[in-house]
Amino acid sequence: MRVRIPAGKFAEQLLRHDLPGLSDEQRRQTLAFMESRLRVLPSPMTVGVGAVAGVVGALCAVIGHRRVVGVLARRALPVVRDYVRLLRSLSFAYVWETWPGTAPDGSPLVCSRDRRSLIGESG
Amino acid sequence: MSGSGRSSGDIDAEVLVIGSGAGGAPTAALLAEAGFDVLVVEEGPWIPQGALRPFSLQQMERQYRSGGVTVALGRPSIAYTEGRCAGGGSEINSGLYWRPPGTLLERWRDQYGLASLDPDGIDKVLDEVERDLSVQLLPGAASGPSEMLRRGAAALGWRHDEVPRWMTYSDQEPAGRRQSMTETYLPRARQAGARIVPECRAERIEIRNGRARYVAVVGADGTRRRIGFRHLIVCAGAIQTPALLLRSGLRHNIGRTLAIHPTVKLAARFDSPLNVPDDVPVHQVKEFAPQLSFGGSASHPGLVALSLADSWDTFGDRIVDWQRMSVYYAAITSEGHGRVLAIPGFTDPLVTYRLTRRDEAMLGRGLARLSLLMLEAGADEVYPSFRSAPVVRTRADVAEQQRRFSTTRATVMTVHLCSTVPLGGARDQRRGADEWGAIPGVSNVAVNDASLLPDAPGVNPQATVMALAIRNVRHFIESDRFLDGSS
Repeated sequence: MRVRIPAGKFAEQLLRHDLPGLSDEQRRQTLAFMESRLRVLPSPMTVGVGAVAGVVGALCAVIGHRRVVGVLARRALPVVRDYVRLLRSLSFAYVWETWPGTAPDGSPLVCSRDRRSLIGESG
Repeated sequence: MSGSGRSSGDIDAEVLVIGSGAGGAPTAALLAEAGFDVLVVEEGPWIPQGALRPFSLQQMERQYRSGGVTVALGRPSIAYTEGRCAGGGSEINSGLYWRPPGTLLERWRDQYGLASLDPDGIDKVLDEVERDLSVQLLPGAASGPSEMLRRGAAALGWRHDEVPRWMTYSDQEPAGRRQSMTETYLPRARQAGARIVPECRAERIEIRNGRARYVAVVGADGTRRRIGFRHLIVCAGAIQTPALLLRSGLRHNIGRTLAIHPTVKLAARFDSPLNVPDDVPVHQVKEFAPQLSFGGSASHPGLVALSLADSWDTFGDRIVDWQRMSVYYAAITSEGHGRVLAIPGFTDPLVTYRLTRRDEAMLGRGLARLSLLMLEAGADEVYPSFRSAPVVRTRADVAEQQRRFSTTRATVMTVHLCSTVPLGGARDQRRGADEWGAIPGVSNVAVNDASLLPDAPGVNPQATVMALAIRNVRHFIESDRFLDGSS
């Protein structure tokens, strides 16, 4: 049995929440990588992850992606936390292996440091 | 026997070996050298050693099952990895070599009724394996991350060792060339006439009247066919071997006793750059072995980010210092157990694992001791990989770390899986295979891989797997028809 789990809007919102400084192109590449890994999950895991993704997707449709991501990114709810951890692990591993010079917010490291120092000076 | 070749038009090989890792490769080499007509089918591709960057996402995509995203379900779920390529796990692991302690072999012999398990005989096989794989210590100095393990252990007075590896070193490859199965036993098997077919997945064994007749396989292009044989030796690893047997209706004590070495991790930051992205430390700390061991993990920046991810709000800003950081693990010998289940309609098995309370406590203590080790090695900060972990800078922080730890908050992983078709003497109630790996109830099927280990060995199991595989296959050759039930 093979089921396709789309990383979809929730994964994109989670990525925007965790790493807001990623460029659109980096985000596109990262999401493509996540999709590629979700496609080859072992089949029983695909069904489990797909079920959780379905519930999360339904919640997003009702109360909005941003609010759902805001709650799930901060709170480790049983079962769902493993889904969030899976998506986060895939994205972090890909981002820092592909672009090691990335700041914690996903922006290029040099720019981020410049920006921090600017904020420090202005503050 | 040897050299008798195909006995009828139905037979595609005298001996079919499924899997080409640390069990399958020596099995194929020794059988082919003894004159058997050997066919090896391997689910993954053949990728020459060194073609891919070690521990990279690209390597995970090409050589790991499911891109490295495989999990044993439980509380907590435990991430594990399996090789899925010619050479199996030997192509992707650290190359660190541990002889099984003599006391372990004696315990297995006595506890599981393995009268034929002779520790001295295994020692002789291990001498041979060490020559075949060029097992040796580093010719020069160890890497910075490795030196930190040594330094921390020395400061605490804890026992530590440089672990030898199956590597060759030369001017062209000063960092070493891993002597994995695609460099050693598989070329030997080919040289002796064995045929090796990569990207060919075994789906089911067809059994009639107590004898395996065919294996149904599917190629990378989706082509299905059947392979006939006189003898079948399954060496697909501790997850896929029981899964194949279960799918084929062989269920007695199969897949019920999965054993692992669970690990928890941390990242440690030092005052100067030391990260070595493509290699792992060669030192290990064995003061509390076999119950608890410490070592180093692959630490390219993506893996450093992963180790910080559970407490990203607290640790995330340290990722900019990844060059000053390395990832380390604490591994335990678990008393828990897991299962491999074949579910009708699913291609892959369902894997579960349950830690005991003692395991959970041991992981917490182990991670705390590992933090202490890193502080003694000179780390200015330590980042334990669990949710709500504190930044550890002092011994007082280590106590706080231990107070906050729970396995459900932690990323628990393993790379050592075994014991899903355990060897056992005739009176052993839990045995999945007899003393030589033959499967009871079917006359011509044996297992010869990590599945056979009676329980978790407490050290890297590859040497043990290879030694048992060679011992078993020699018995097969010497006793000729033992798989037909005549011995």
